[in-house]
Amino acid sequence: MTNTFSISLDSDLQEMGRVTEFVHRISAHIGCDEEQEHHIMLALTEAVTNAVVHGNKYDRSKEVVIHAEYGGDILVLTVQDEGDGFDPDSIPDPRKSENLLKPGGRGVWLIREYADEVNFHDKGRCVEMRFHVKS
Amino acid sequence: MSTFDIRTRSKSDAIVLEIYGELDAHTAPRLEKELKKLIDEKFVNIIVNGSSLDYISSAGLGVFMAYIEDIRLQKGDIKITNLKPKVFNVFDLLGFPTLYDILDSEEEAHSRFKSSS
Repeated sequence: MTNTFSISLDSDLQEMGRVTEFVHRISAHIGCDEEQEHHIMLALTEAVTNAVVHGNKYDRSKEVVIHAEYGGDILVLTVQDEGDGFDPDSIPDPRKSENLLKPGGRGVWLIREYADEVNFHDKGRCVEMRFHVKS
Repeated sequence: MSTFDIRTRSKSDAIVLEIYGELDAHTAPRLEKELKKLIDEKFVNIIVNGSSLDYISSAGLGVFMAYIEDIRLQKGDIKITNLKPKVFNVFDLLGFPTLYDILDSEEEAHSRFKSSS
């Protein structure tokens, strides 16, 4: 049986509190441990921040939609924005010495680190993150 | 709303920032403002005590990177202490221990400041 949850967010970082609540709700539903909840939280927060800041560029007429689908032991989270998209392969490795002191550029790398599988769709406007749930 | 708070206190040779809650893209500007204020006032020996920090995102990490060069140019430093393992893990993944003193206790941070003065 597959369960789905969705929320729509304004393109405003004040919405981050709703992301936290959303993760708590999903974690309670799937019964994952605290460590995995933290990984889900990190990946989803980074994806939503990118969608608000770089995708929709804080445009309040545009939404960010989070969709969660859980079945078996797989949780799939997608974050969709309405921006121009981007090339995820163009993001430099933030751990290289020349990038270490840069204030930005770590979000996509963290998403890839904390999700078990990451795919980008719709020219980068949609990020799909898969987690193998350990309950 | 994300929960986040900063409490500042002065202790011998350094300013201690105790940070609480979730440091994300929404709350990071508050830490940024606090660090900028300290730099402007020439308080550049800074200890960030993260014992009550539950979560840090890349935007929160970016704040530390944004000011460290300014602070070191003024012969100061930011030393980070008391991180929970799950929060330290994020710092560690991104290579922060090569750039910052990340220590177990405030006392160690004070000792480092004393030995470098």
